[in-house]
Amino acid sequence: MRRNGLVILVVALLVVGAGGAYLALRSKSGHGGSGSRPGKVVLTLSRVRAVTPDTEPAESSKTEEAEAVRKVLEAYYTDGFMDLDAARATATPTAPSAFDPEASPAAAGTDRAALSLGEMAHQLDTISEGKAEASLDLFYVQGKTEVAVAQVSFSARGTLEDGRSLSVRQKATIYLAKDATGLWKILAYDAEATQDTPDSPAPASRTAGTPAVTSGAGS
Amino acid sequence: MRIPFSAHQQPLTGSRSLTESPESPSSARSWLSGWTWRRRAALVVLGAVSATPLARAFPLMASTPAVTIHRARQAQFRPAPNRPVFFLVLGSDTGTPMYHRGGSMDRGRSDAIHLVGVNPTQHRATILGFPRDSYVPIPGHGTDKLNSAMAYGGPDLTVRTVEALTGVRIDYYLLTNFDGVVKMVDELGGLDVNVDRAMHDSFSGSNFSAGMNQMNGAEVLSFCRDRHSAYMGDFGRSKHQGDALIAGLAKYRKAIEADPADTLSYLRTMLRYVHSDLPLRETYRFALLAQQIDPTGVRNFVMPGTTGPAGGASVVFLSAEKDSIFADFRNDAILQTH
Repeated sequence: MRRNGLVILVVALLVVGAGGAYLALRSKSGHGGSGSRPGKVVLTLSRVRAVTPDTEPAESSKTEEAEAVRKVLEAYYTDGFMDLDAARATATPTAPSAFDPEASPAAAGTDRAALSLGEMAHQLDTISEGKAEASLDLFYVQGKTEVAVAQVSFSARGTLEDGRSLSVRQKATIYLAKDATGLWKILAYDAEATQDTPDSPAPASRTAGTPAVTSGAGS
Repeated sequence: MRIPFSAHQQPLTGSRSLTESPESPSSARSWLSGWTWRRRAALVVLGAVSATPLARAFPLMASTPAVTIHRARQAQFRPAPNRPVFFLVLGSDTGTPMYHRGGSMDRGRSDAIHLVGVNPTQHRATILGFPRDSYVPIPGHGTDKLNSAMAYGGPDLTVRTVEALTGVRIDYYLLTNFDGVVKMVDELGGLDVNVDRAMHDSFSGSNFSAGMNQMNGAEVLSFCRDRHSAYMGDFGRSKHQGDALIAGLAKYRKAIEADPADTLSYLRTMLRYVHSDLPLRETYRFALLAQQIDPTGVRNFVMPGTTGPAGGASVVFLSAEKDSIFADFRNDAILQTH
């Protein structure tokens, strides 16, 4: 009897060890998980347009300003959707530096779920393949720009803790304005985000501001 | 909200393969009975500890079906002041080469005078129209027709006159003229205006049947200028000017619904044809805020009054109830009792 118990103990220890080693290997091999280095979103600009009531701006200014906006958006999407540790830290705003102080509280609070991975960050093991495409309109007055509108499509693929994949998508219109120091900030937004396992049903019609969550038994 | 996960995804719940012994319950009890409490406790702890990594490492071992996840979230944010905002919207009759009127736009008479209040919290707006001939005190110029305030002292004096009359602190003014209206409307592709009754007037050029009319810039201007076939003359004309503002808001909302970047096209048009003391960033903020205001809920109200002579001219004496109207309007930019 005493020997049986000892055998069970040894077997159990081996199993625990094997499981731990497996998890450690997964983490080290770059699959993500808590504490792993986050992937970076690559945001490309499909179109840049200048809108002006007077004369067309210099092409160099357009290129420079578009790149500045692109970097702000890229940082926001990386922080909000690719950095699991940052996304899990519910006490801090989503990409705080990207948002204007007026927009920041809503972005970090009531709108967090549409602007980031939100609570799903806690269920994800990894997130990768983050990419975004945006069209950008810069508003110029007398050769200078202060406000802009970006229309962005973002997608990424996550892996849930049970190994299933999760499709993460967001479409947003982002209204930007320069702050007093000349940095582009997100001043306003309309965003619609979805998170789906592959066997999810087609999205039902939604009303603005109304969260829709469907959890049903799958295969 | 946390998605409810199936049993195999939850740590420590364990699946059958982890918690049950291959032996029968009775035989398990028999060999356990020989163990000390320390050993039993150690076994329980070991089982619990092993369940977590195993459940994560070998998810396919689970037998409970996974839940389907579909989450959809929408969010909208617009920066907004936490108090009502008031704009004085003025239409000047000068500085319009297309209509052969010279002079400077901001030194003519303001034949369109509207105090627009926006309640950012409730996403509502009210247009308070003033008949141009309203006989009111003008600071430093005695009592005269309201539209002459701009000729005396430009938009600033008109703002001060309306502020003194209503008790409303005006945040910004917006000023355009005949040419501005025509070009602005044409640049935006025309307006759909609901005409309350048929209008045919050779002076203004209005020629509309009752109902929804698709108007170009010149037609919108004639609709806003006509006081001969408008109901109650100058009062009806002021209402029509408010109707045109509402039609403009409806057009704007429809445009940005199709393409949000059109916000900037409207901004461009406004900067071209409207003079204002609004800084660009503020103009942009209010353009974004306007996207949330339903035009069908905008109240278009004309100050009541009676016509009569004063100083050899025909003027409008605002009704005695004006003070209660202004009091109702200025606290939240919404008219509730009138």
